Amino acid sequence: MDRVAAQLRADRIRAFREELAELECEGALTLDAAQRAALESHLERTLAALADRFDVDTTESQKQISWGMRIASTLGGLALCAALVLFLLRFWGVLGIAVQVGVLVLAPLLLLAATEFAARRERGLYYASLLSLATFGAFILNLNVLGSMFNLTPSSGALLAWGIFGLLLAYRYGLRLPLAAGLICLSFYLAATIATWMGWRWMSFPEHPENMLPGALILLAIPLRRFDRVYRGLGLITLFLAILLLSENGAFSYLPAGKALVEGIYQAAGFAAAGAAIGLGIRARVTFVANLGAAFFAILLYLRFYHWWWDWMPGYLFFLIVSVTSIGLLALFKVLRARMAA
Amino acid sequence: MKNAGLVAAAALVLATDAFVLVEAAYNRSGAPVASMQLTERELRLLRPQRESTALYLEPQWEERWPSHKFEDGPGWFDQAKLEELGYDCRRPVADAVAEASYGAMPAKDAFAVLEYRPDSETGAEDRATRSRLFPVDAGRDFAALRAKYADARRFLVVPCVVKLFYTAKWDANTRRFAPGAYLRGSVVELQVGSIAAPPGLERLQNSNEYFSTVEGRARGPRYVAVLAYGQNHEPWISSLRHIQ
Repeated sequence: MDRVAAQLRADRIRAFREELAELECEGALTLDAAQRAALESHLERTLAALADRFDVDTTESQKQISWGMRIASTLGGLALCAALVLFLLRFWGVLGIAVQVGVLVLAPLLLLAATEFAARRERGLYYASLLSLATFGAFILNLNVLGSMFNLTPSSGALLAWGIFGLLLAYRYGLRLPLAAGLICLSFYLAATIATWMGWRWMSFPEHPENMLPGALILLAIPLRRFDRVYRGLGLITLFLAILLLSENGAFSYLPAGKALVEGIYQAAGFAAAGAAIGLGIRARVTFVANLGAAFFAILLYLRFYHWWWDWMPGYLFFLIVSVTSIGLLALFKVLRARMAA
Repeated sequence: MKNAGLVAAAALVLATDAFVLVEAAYNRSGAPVASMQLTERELRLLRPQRESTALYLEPQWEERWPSHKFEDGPGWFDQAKLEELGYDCRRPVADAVAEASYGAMPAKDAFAVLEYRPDSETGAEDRATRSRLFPVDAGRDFAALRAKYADARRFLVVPCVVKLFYTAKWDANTRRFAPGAYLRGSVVELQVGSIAAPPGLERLQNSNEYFSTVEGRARGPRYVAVLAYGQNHEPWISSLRHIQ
């Protein structure tokens, strides 16, 4: 069991207690004293074990405070990265080359050691999460500044190194933010490699969104048990963004077809992908997949409305149609939600 | 192994840094592949941030044609040169979707030949602060360009980024685009566009600010530097001296 599974168990126990009290009030269920004592004892022992081993939140107020701690941890990590960068910029010119190289090499290693120390001392991993972000940032800074010190040609190999580093941090400490950062770097590396194969500069990979599609499909297809939400979520967002950009401007496609035809192809693909995400999300009972699909469907639809009607339709009529469509989508999503609950 | 992930992360940092340092050392080993003495006009001083002590020199070069002479055509960087660099220019420029299609083509890596022209050749009075480097050719083979432009004191062959531009001629009288659009290329940037400045320039203000002042334009460049390119075609400043 990992921390995420432990928290889900603790949440189910809390919800179970609340529903049990409600059922007893309504007279649907009555426990005798022995049953109640045994049940409460078991639930208390389970919660205590989960809290002791995984530092999970056992009450609603604890959960809310934990969210605040996660936000503070993320902001703290980003601020630490910014402080490091600005500190180096301020004093860089007065340091000799050997000292500069030493600082750059030691910074990520020391921060990695600090992350390891924090992870071993604290089960909640809030400090480790903050330090892991700073470690990742320090490694990015390390390669960037070494490259600019020695005037090296920018290389996509740096993306590969950062991506692998992010994954090592994520799997070592069970942290999702370094995982997301690492997967983004690896997706960019794959896209940059494809751009090079197609004859373009590697840095121009964002100019052809199709470069991102293979990476998105890999993220969606990898069979996983751990961190599956991060992989699937990133894969879907990347896929949807690439399709959205190509549905708006087909000139940036590799397809040997006219701009209008390419846009039509990707508009159709976009609606199909959104529908598939909603259907798969419902069938597999994965709420965020269905929600992402629904959000993308709505964005695509509203963009189509804008392109079809905005230039000639009276403004009041356009927004009336948008609002009626929104009501229709609400009804549809309500049906989908009911099917997920069934 | 219990701490395999931790060891792997640390090893990755050390291995990539070692690779970078070895590459840097190899680039500067042996004699430079190219070098040229330039002034502040061609190597502008840049301080990235107000509080930054890290300084950079940015190579500058002039376009062969000023903007108002677009109607003269693409010059040396024409469609044939673009096709030589790997651009697919088969779509007719008069095609209805030609502008969108060519506009979507990204930049490419290449080598540019920068010619150093002394002020006596350029002649314009307002060029006292502008670069004397002019791009005169581009290609994908460094050795072929070096052989063609063998005078190393006059021509610098450097890794660059080139881009295709679809240029339509604007008729101010009819307020419409006139027939006769064409494709042209441009050296848009160098692959290493900022070069770490050697010590000695810390007290100087940015070159763009300096040359925007009357004193700056009257006094002219403040330093002379030798720009060298190494085995990996990556640059460094091998020497620098102040102009009194």
